[in-house]
Amino acid sequence: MFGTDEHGNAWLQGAQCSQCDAVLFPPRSACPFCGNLDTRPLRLGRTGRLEEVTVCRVAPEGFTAPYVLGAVVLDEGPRVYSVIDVPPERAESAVGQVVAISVGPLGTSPDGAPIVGWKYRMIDSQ
Amino acid sequence: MSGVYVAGIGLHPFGRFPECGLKDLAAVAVRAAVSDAGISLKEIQAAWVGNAYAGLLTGQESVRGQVVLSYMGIGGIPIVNVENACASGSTGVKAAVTAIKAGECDIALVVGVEKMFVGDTGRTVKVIATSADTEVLGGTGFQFTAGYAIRARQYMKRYGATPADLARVAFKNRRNACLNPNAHFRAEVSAEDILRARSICDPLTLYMCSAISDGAAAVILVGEGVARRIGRSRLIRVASSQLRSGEPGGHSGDEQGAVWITAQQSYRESGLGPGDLQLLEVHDAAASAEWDHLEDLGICPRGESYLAISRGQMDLRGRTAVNPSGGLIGRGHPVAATGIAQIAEVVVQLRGEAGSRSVGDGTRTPVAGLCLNTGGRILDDKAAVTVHILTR
Repeated sequence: MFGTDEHGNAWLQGAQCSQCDAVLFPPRSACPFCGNLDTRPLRLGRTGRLEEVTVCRVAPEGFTAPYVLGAVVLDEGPRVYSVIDVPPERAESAVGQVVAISVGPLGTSPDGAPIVGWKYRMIDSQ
Repeated sequence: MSGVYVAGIGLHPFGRFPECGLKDLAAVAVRAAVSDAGISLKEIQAAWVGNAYAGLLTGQESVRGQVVLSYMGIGGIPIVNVENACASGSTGVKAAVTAIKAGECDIALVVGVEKMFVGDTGRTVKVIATSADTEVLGGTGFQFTAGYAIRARQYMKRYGATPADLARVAFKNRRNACLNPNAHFRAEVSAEDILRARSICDPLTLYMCSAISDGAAAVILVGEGVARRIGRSRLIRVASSQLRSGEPGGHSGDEQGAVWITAQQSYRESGLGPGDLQLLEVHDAAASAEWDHLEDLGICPRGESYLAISRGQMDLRGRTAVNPSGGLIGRGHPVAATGIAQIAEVVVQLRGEAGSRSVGDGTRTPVAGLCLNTGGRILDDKAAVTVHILTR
């Protein structure tokens, strides 16, 4: 569902309809819009705009509360939910900002292994 | 004619029952529904059993329905297991209605049962998260409450609703639950308590979210021939039974969303509209969901449902009573039982048997009610939506 290229740049694995060009995330084997049976893989989601956030005060197994979860509208169109790498007190001010993806540990599973996934951060805050 | 009627309803109270398993919970509901219908167990010709999480929570992954019903002495008939997340029970009702209309059977049992307290709340929460695409959302930190919270914040910014308006939804539903002997939560909480409760996902506090519950609910559905034999006086007609799944691009609060589409289909099927309904049971998994639901159902114009609720128009004695049973927030949410409990509530109200929680001004028994039950998540929309319209 995600990966990094040889330069360390992260991406989400999406798909694109080979007939109507609809961009699909998560990837689909057929197009839900035009019904075409062929899609091709498409890497996407390097940047997007943070549409809305919530501060989660309870956490799923392996995650630590509080953390910020947001809806990100990708430059290519699809909307994804993601951990937002911003302190809870700055979550509200991040809404509407451009965000960029990174891949790395998001938490630690009960067996001690890191939970590796994607998250978005504000583009001007390294 | 191929009318379908609810002849009997039964519930196991919703709540925390550490000593009860699936069989115990279902048996109480089925026994109550059969007695209510005045039929014998041996008259049941087919059964649908809804359950979402027993496989992961109790280990009973397969043939749950047969296991549960054989404990009740029911066998030798078609038994179908139904899983559609929180809409499992009402999906079973849809299937049974279809079978009766097709002439496959005349007396059907539908039961929804859920055992959610297994001594490890963390595990239950993790299991609930499987009602979405686990390849996409697993390991992302996503949780259902966060999805509702994000949607609530968008709604509040767009239409000017406040946290106090959110608390008013929960206050109404908790207050209604105080009058429901089958509800999980029967202690009234003040709007201030609801606002001040600990935050789960901002702006949703603990009391604005549906809880984990054990419970079961059952209905006996009958066809036209049996209805004539029983006599119509206590029968409630299923005027519409519709099921849809979310489409790409659809979401709550939108005319492409599954709730809107299912409701439109249901109004067409029944020949009724939003203005014909005196009560609704809707899927308030979070308080904010009730805002979207009332607008997607056409009960309120866009952006106005929060005002209607906060002004008391959706209270028990208001113009349209919403969640008179207490809803998911007050009645509790044993997921596969929820949709059938909604139907049971509307049946009790339409029969005029709701006692202290009767809707309306107390002078007239309501004639039509609607149930909206949603389950799981696919893309940005509900994985399953059912709408049932019942009439007297």
